[in-house]
Amino acid sequence: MFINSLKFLVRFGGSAILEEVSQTNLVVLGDDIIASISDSGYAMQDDQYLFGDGLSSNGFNTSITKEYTLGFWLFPISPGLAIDSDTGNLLSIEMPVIVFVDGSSAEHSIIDVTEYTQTSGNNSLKVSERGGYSAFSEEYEPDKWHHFWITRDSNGLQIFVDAVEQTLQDESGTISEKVTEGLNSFLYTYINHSLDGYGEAVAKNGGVIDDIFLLNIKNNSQSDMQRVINDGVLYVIDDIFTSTNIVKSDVFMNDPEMITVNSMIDDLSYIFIGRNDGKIMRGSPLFWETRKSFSDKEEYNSGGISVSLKGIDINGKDTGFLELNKNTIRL
Amino acid sequence: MATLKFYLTSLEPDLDQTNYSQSIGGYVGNSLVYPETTLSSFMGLYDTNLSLVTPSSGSWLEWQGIEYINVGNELMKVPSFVNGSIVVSQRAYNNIYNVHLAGDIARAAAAKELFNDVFNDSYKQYRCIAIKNVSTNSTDPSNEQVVYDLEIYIKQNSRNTNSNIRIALEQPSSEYISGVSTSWSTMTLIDISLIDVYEDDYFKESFLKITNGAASGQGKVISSFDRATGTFTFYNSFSSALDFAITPTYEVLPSPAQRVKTGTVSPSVESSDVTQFFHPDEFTPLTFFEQASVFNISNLSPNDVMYIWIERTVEKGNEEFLNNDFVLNLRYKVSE
Repeated sequence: MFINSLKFLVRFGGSAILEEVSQTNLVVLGDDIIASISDSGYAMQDDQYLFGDGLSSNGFNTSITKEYTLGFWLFPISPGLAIDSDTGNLLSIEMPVIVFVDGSSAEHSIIDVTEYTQTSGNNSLKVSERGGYSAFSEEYEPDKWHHFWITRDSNGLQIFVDAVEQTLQDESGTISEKVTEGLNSFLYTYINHSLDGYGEAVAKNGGVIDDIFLLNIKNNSQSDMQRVINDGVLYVIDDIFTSTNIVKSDVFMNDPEMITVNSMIDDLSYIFIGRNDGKIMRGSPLFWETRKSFSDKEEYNSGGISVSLKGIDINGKDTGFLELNKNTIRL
Repeated sequence: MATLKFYLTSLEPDLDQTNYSQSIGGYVGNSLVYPETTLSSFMGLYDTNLSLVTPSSGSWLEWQGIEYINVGNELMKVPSFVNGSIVVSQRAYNNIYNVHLAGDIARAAAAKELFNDVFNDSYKQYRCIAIKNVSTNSTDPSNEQVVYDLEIYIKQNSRNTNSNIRIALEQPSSEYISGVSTSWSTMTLIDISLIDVYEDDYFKESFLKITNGAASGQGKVISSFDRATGTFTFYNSFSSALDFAITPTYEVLPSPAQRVKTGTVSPSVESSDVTQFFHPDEFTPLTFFEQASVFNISNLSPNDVMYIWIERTVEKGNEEFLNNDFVLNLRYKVSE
């Protein structure tokens, strides 16, 4: 059972793109209607985008007033910078990620999350709200997974990247008291699509997005972010897991990288040396043999020669000797 | 909040276990599977600076020479270890990146190795470790310290395709108790409050430890328990009953797990106290929750234990074992 504050959840697991709270599917729109979805998420590509309008096409019932928390994994790409055709200057490229829009007219962005490329080669994330407020995250590296956690109340917006709170960049406008600002809280959702059109320096995204969730409360708990990142989103939004703690331990048993001798016996014919990797060495100072107790690399079983691991005597008991079946060996 | 720790097992009770290959059942040893401490600061997904709190022993001696540190589900490769301020050589050595908060447990995962290269004819070997609830009610009785609905699963099996891990659970047949003795001798200890509470020999083979007076810390293995009189009888006598306090307090530790002769022998999984070997994952964890038992072992009160048998199987002909680790997860609730 999901927690009450969960209003939107898409985890991109199966072939259908299910929004799990409303139990409705998102649809694939654009030129290419075959979505690239795997356990890693939805690969945003070209002119394709996803659209969801909730139950009876009325929008997702988010019940958002003053607070929300939006989280998702993103594997960002950086296509570089665009060139302003008038001035020749370099411009950041805008790439839509996810936008929640007014469900009554689908004309107003309520929460708009967009990526921007930067001259450093990194990207940054911009969060815009209907009231006119917007802010950027700090820059983050493309081509590696990042977790984004955006939360707000009427006092302000917080953006966390990989559970680290960002110093908001280029804040613009004033955070509004209510998120929807006069509109109702039934919202449509677009992924990899913007209502603002695709003019100069605005491109479709090319990253991968996964595990998108929306709460209608503010949550800036770093331990919750850790649970989402380390254990999965269910550990914060599903009653079965929210009350559980997890103790983790990695048990390690690689072959040692540094070989040491830990025993030696001289039986007057050979010297035997035991090593910490389990190998036993036998030989003289001029010649050594090695073997590992569980290796069969020295066993021979091919061609016309049939080999039994153990010979059987006439009473059916193991003799303990290797036996060649119906073959001879010429030396 | 409850604290669970992983311990090695040993032939005798109340012993340090320094030989990993001898962690093959029996009593809960005094040695953790790995030395551990906590993070002193946050470590982001891709950070390489790791800061550790000095271990409770006050020394990094046990950490010298280690190559890997485990925090959460993640294994990190570290350079030659000097102190708690480390620049990690490789994050996510086991391909799992985690975010780590200050206070998270860090373990010297490769200080010693639980498994060695001695296998049986089926290329299997076995080890037994114990999970113990080390919470102490006395430190903060307001905190919830009972572990409810304990579940155990393998978060990550060996990344070496020629190596496989399965686990089985064994519950002790008797639980932890503590009490006050009403009369005693060097060979017996009586607590009349236990009369008709537990069955005859319920505590047989468990370790009874005196917790006050001059004999505090001394303990003996129980050879029998008499339900009618509440009498514990020991295999060996205490050196002197005079060391006992006027009103001796005692504790009886949970009964030991079965002990196998060597690490190449499989434990018996034929009783109701032991599960079969499984590869439980996050969504099908191992638990005793659904099984009838003497007491509800899925809820671990402070000092209660659960034993985990680990079966490692290697494919014949494997020349070397790299990428060879697995991640155990214990999942529990803090309220019923």
